[in-house]
Amino acid sequence: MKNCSEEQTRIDYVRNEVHGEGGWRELWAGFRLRTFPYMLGRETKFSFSSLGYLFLKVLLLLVAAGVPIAARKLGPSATPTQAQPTNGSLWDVITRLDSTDWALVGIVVSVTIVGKLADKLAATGKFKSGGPEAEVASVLEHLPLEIHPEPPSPFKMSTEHCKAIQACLVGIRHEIGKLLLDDSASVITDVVYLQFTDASAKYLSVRTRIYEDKAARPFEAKQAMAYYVALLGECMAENDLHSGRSPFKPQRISVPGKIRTSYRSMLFVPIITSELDTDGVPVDYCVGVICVHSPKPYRFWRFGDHRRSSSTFCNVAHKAIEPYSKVIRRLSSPTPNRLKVLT
Amino acid sequence: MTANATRQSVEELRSTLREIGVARFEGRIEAGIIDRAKGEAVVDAFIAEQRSRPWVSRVVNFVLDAEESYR
Repeated sequence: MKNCSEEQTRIDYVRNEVHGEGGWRELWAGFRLRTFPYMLGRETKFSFSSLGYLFLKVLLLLVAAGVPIAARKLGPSATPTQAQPTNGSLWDVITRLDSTDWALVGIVVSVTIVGKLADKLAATGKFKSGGPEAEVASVLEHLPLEIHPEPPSPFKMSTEHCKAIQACLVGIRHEIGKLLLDDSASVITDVVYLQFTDASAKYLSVRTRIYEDKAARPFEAKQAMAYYVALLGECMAENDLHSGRSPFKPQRISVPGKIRTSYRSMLFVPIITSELDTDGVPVDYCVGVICVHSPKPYRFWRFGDHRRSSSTFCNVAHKAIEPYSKVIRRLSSPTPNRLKVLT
Repeated sequence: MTANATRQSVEELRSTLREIGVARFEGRIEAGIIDRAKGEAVVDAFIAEQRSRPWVSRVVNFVLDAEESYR
């Protein structure tokens, strides 16, 4: 009875909290942990010093725009009308600005922004070279022309299959890195592919991960959030595993011992196959789940996601990794080890 | 079934996509249950809509030159 209640709690959490609309709480946490540090252009936590830094940046822009106006108003060439004292209010100062003043403000702001745009254009080539596409293509090239169905047990998977899936995981990390504008190993620490190890889908196992292509020991599927993602059959992201709100313990379950996870946010992409039942109604099955780990909270979140039940980041990520997930789906199915998705 | 799928209107497919999500929708395309050309066009339109950035993100990017995420 207790297990049943616990399972329902976990389903509700994944459906409502992880996948559902986050609202104001998610907005505040996401802004504080994700958007605000990026507004500063650096990885910092929300603090008075970081707020001061942002204020300083805006102030510098305002001062730069104000200098030419002050020169005109206070300089020796200022006309009596320009030099006329105001009643002290900011609005009064603004209403007294003439077209020349506004033109000067426009020039200063434009010069500032053009510099930023130039920096941005120079940085756009960051991901154009050095990607793992060549490596992935090389591995996939050596696959048999006709890919055979996977054997019932993933532990009997051929070396070519394992290497191909591993190569796809490398490609996935690269694609997600492009979306995050940073594909360094410190941002995405690992990409894991989980598969069910039995036909009743009671156990999951790490099929392969970026740095290791050996299958790990199976563990009880219902302990893992990935199981509930597979059950619901939708892409989703856990924004902060260490928030204390989750019914899932922030511990690694694929290894023995109670080791705290080093990652705080996880992106889940279920691999779904479909069939028609005898009545011609589509039935969906999950054959595995791709998990992307990041040590930073709210990594797979973008401002605005709090208003949507289905995260925009997850949907965009699903599309971005599609070439790789297609290969994984092809290699993983058909298999009897799968979980029927809830309708 | 492919013939049936071809008859499905784009609007129906869009509604199905919103109901079941991208992962299951792609699974059905791959299985041949949903017409590939129409299905992928619907997914592409959906993703293009999802990629559009909220105004806060645009303002932050423009003023502070700090990209929050993908474009």
